[in-house]
Amino acid sequence: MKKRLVKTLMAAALAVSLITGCSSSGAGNQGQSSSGGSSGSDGDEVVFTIGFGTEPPSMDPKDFNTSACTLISYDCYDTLLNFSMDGLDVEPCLAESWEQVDDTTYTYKIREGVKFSDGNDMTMDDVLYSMERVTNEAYSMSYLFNSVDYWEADPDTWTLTVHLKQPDATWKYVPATSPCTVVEKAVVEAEGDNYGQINGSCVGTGPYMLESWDSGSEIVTVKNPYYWNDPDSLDVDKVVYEVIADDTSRALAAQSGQIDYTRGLTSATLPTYESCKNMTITNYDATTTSFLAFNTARAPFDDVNARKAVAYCIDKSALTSLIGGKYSKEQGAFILPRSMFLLDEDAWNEANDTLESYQQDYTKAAEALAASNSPDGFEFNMYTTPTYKAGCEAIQSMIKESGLPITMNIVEIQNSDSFSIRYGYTTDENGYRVYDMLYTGWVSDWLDPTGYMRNMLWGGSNYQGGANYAAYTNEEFDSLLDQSYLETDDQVRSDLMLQAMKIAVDDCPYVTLYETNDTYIINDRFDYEEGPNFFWNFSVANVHLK
Amino acid sequence: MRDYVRYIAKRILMMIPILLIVSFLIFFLLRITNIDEAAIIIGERQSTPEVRARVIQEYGLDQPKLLQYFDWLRGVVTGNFGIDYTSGQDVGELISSRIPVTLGLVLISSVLGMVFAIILGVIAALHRNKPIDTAISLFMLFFSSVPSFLVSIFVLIILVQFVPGYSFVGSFSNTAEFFQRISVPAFIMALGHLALLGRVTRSSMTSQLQSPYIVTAKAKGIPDRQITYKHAFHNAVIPVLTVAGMSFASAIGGTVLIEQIFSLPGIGGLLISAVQAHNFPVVQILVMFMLLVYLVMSLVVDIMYVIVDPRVKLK
Repeated sequence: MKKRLVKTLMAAALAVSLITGCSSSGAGNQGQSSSGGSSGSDGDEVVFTIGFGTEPPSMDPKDFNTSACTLISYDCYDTLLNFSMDGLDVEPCLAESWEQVDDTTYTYKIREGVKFSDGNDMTMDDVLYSMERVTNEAYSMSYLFNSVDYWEADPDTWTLTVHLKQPDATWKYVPATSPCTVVEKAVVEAEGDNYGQINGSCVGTGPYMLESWDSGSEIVTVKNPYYWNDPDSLDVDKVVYEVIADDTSRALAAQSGQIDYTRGLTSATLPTYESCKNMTITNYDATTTSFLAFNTARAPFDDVNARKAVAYCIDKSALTSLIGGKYSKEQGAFILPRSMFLLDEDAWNEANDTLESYQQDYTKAAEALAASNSPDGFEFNMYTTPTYKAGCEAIQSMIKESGLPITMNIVEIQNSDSFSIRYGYTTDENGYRVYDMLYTGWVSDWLDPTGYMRNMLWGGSNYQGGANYAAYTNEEFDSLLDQSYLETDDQVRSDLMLQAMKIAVDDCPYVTLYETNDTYIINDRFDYEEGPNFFWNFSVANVHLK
Repeated sequence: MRDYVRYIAKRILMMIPILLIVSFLIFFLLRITNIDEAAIIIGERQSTPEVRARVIQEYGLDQPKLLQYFDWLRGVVTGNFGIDYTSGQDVGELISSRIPVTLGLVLISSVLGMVFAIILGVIAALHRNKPIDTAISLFMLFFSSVPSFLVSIFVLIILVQFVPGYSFVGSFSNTAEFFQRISVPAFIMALGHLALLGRVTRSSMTSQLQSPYIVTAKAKGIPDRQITYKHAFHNAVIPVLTVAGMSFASAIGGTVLIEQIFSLPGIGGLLISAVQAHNFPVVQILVMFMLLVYLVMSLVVDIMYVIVDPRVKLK
């Protein structure tokens, strides 16, 4: 009898622990349920389910520097201007019209009667506050505002004016980028650092507004009832953003119809996506490239011949197929992708194909080494995140195969340290960037060639926080690029930039590798076409039912 | 009964020095690599000297490490678990929203694993060297050698193909949805326990069944059922409990990959991302939490010993 009692007690104890474990979870979770995870409509409600690997860091526009933000957070806000879908021009948004008053002054006529998603009116004070916030505070994309002197707002005429420190031919694009979204001053000031965080709020003027956010799991946005642009033009009533960290699981979620859209399809999961019924994979020319950056500020790569010796060891086509994958193509001489040759396509294509592109040639590598400051060979450190590690190992063996006395060590860094290292915040004892070489990539902010040239090659971007990964400075290059900024005629600009590019190619601060098309998969129920500027352009407002 | 209370109280008191030592170790081991914490907190913002100075001051990073440790410890004791370096969120809030999934997985898989392990282990031992024993042993050998994340991917592929309504993404708002989401991963984790515990049960049961006292019992004419369940099983289950304790306690570590594959918002996925991002406050609390679960599980197992085997005395 006693033993039976003991058994019963044990069983009861287990059962109780089970039940408490589960019921507490029910109470602990305050999230909203999606439409059972399945895509499509819930009654009449149209739900668009996005699956993505990472969660956005916040819903605050100051943090909008990842694709995760573009996919879900960005739709809660509006920018002053929008990029056109082809990425070539800008269109009105919160600013109805704009004007370049002189070389350094632009004015924007702000739309009246716009409301935030909490029902409050958007004022000129909010607009000015939003612009000054991203300009003055050191946020991730504050580099876009480097040439801003100050902003000015006139509440009577609803005019916003920006005064630049120097003429800037690319300024016209900046108001269409995500930092130029308008936030509600009172809300942001009241919440401080909490604004846009998971337990803070998110108030914008965009087509959708935040409904719920479950950490590590799901973000839901619904139509903003106060949207200034016709809310009836929105086909999708509710956007559900599912965080699915595992690539395979995400592909399976697409296959089983649990998500309607995802992007950045990896080579390993491509066959699964290709087998999805009622889903279409699309790829398009984007502005993404992968390349190697030499640290030209210190030995051994302050010597152009040392750079060339390494560059000639690298088999670019092998890396393109091995690491780049199906949707990548090998680059020519220029670091910028072919999609950015728009100013004068023929001239740029010709130069890209005919200028030195440093194809693998061990004889030339040996010659360059012999001409360098260290003809007896040298050793260098290649820094890489896990993403590019396989590529680095391939490069290591290519250099080894050359038989030259060059030794490459791989230093693997975590993604979390990558920003600090790439942007030069981590330095050696002399204040130089810590790497000798870096395998990394870039996505342009716009289709104008300056999207690469200004960030990667211009001496002015060789500062802590600048994206001139090669720490490259060449006065001749800089002066040509500076001149191009003063010109408004596209042909003249193009010629100046081409001249500058020729100098950069000779100096070999980077080894160009491959450009990669963007890929996405979308449920056939929806009609949507992505432009080359996904990063700024993506909006569920453009997703329509077929 | 008083013995029980005194014993449990003593064990709980003993947990305190263990927790303290581990908290000390984890705090300083994380910082031994000279990671720049201010850089982690600043993240992808421009790291101007002013921003750095503000962050260092705000998070007390200029204080001596030992002082930082005591500050953190005082916070933990008073329920202030610190601020997440990457999201700026309160760590306590962050983790409490994630714990139910992980705890649910651990408990359900432990119970399922234990129950089926004992049943299958006993069946195998009773039919030793017969086809049913071979089948069960093969089954357990298979699942103890195949890593559970592989089983998870395999199961997921099958479910996606053949169970159209099966959902493994998104959130859940009620208990039914919660169970729907965690049942399959919990079952897969249970297979891991089952494979391990089942084999222990089988060998322990087999050796008991061959003991001289069983021969005596048989000679006395005690019915087979009674011999098996009252005598042999009782003794056989003790080593099983020891292994079960270890297995359950480490189960919380096993949730890490399973949660990732089934996109469950538990603490496993959180730990991975926190470790990768050098998000120290989150890692510290998660390690302490896992240790606590481990200690509590071992205590429960020790108490079960006493219940099952009266020869074991509480000290």
